[in-house]
Amino acid sequence: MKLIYSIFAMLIIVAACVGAIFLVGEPDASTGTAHASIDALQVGGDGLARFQPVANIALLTFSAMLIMFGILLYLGISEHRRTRQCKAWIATGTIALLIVWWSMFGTYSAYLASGEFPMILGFPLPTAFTVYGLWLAGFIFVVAYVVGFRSFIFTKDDEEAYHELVEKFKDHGSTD
Amino acid sequence: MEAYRQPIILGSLLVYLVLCIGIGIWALRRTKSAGDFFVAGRSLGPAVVGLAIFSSTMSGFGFVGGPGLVYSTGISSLWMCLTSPLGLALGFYLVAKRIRIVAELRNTVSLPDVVAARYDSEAARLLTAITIILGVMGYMATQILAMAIVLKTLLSTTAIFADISLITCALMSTAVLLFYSVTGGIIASVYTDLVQGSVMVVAGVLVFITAINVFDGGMQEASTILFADDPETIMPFGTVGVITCIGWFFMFGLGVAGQPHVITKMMMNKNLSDNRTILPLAVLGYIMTALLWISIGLIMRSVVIAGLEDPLSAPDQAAPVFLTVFANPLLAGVVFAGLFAAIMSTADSFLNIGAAAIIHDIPQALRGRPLENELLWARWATFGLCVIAIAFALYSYYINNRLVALLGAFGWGTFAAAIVPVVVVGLNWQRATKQAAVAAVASSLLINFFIEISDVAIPYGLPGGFLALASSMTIFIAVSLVTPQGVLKPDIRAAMEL
Repeated sequence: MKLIYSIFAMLIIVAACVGAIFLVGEPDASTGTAHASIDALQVGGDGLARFQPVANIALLTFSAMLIMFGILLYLGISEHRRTRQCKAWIATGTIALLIVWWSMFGTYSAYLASGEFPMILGFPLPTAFTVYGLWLAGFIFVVAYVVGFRSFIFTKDDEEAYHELVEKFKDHGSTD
Repeated sequence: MEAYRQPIILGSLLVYLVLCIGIGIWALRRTKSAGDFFVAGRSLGPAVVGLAIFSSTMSGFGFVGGPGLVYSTGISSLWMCLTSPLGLALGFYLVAKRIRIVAELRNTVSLPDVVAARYDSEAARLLTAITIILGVMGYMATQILAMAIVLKTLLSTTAIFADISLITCALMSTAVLLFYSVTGGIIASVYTDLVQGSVMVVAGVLVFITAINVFDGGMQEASTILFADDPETIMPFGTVGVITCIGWFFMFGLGVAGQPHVITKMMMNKNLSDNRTILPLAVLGYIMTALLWISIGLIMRSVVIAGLEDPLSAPDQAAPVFLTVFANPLLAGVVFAGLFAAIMSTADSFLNIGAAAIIHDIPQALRGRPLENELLWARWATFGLCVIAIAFALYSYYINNRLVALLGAFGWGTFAAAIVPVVVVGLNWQRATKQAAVAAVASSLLINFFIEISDVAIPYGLPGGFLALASSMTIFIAVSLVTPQGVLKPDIRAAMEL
């Protein structure tokens, strides 16, 4: 399946989810309200009441987005450089992002049901997934770029081909 | 040392501003052509480009608005800044290599140049240039206003400048920005970015260390205080809820790869292989600076709720009050210089791409050839843009902020919606067509404009920029699939296949 169709499919899923958000009922103060006693502060209020109607939509929307990011990154690799190593890096990063998201979602849902949570590195566990997990999982792609630079981003062969390309077209115009 | 707090802060700021002027004078000698003015002759090293990319991404918003947003809404706004590793990775995987190759082959000096080369379409160039100018005006007005307000806050604490007006502060701060932007163009801009980026990283790390030591129990004690007051504040989606957060993640994560002032810098490195160093540098710089964004907001909210400080009059006071109450005067000096650095590093980038759109891209699109003596016109356009932006900024402050708010709508969200499909996807998908490019840019303008004008209420706070970006991407792919594929020029096809 062509990558662009996969991206398009993810966009359609996101669009369907957006449609569902418009259709599902919106509780009061779904985006927070003013703090009762301190000006300029917002409060979230009843977490369960505002999360429940859109929980599954959010789960699907963000999962589709993360998969789309992975496919987009893969689209950025030249077709002839999409090696097994490249696939492994992109898949690892995308799966890590999904695991962080699903863990955040799961632990937050569990907290809403039970009211309990452990503290990890200064934050409630669901928040720790946000604070530490989201950027660390994204950082895998940065490491992949550095480690895989000469094997699937811009190899020595690519560099030679680039110089030949510049030599060929720069002096002779773009329409040669 | 506490007695000298204000002189230290003002002294730090003065040193920083003098340094910017010095760089402007130095860069004047190195700026000999429009290519030097707009893309630094594609001769920059990896450290300069890396720091320039991150410092122009992290504007004054990260130093003032960001902490204010965390103070006001808790964890929510982390969904904007924690996207940076993924967002910058998207930019480098999808754009950095190809845009640099096209720049070398076609001698491009601006993003609309690249769009015109990719699609062989002057209409796409024109629309991209118009989008950039609209966005630049909104961004510039807010950056100038932010500089003026900060300068007024600092100067009004001294006896001699106690009654200084906002207009004077706007003129003083913009004069420095204008001086180095006009004399040295992008060369001055990126080398001041080097200084600005370094100051921002130091400020971010030092503030973070200070912040987590405010409470004996560190961040855990702050979290406990916040949870007791309103559990949602410290839960993963903060007070704004899950839908807004994932909308922001999409808009800021994917959107960073569509910011013209960021990706234009990907055309400026001397060696293509330097990208291997530039990406991690930019990401690490951003993350270290974001520590300030995250920590100040959470700690200030905690101390106010705990009754250790009076409530702030406005969320944007979070950073200034934190620095006044908790920071050593030397640190406060560095951070205030860092704040100016953050604002200026974004503003100078916008001035540069705006000037390129006006004097290079629009004449090229309408007349089929650029202006004579582009360098001279570029300097005049930079000056003119700055003057108009000052007028907008002051108009919005004293008379009506609707105009700037409207132009502001053509900021991050519109850049993302217009440029991500056309450049980020288009440089990696040969089937993309010029009709699709025009449709995507036009739809991004229309959708953002409609959302801003109609004041339409979107359920669960779904950001308008998210809707515009998702729509323009969908439109771009759909239109490309149903319109006939154009024939790519051989050099562009070769660049896309490499």
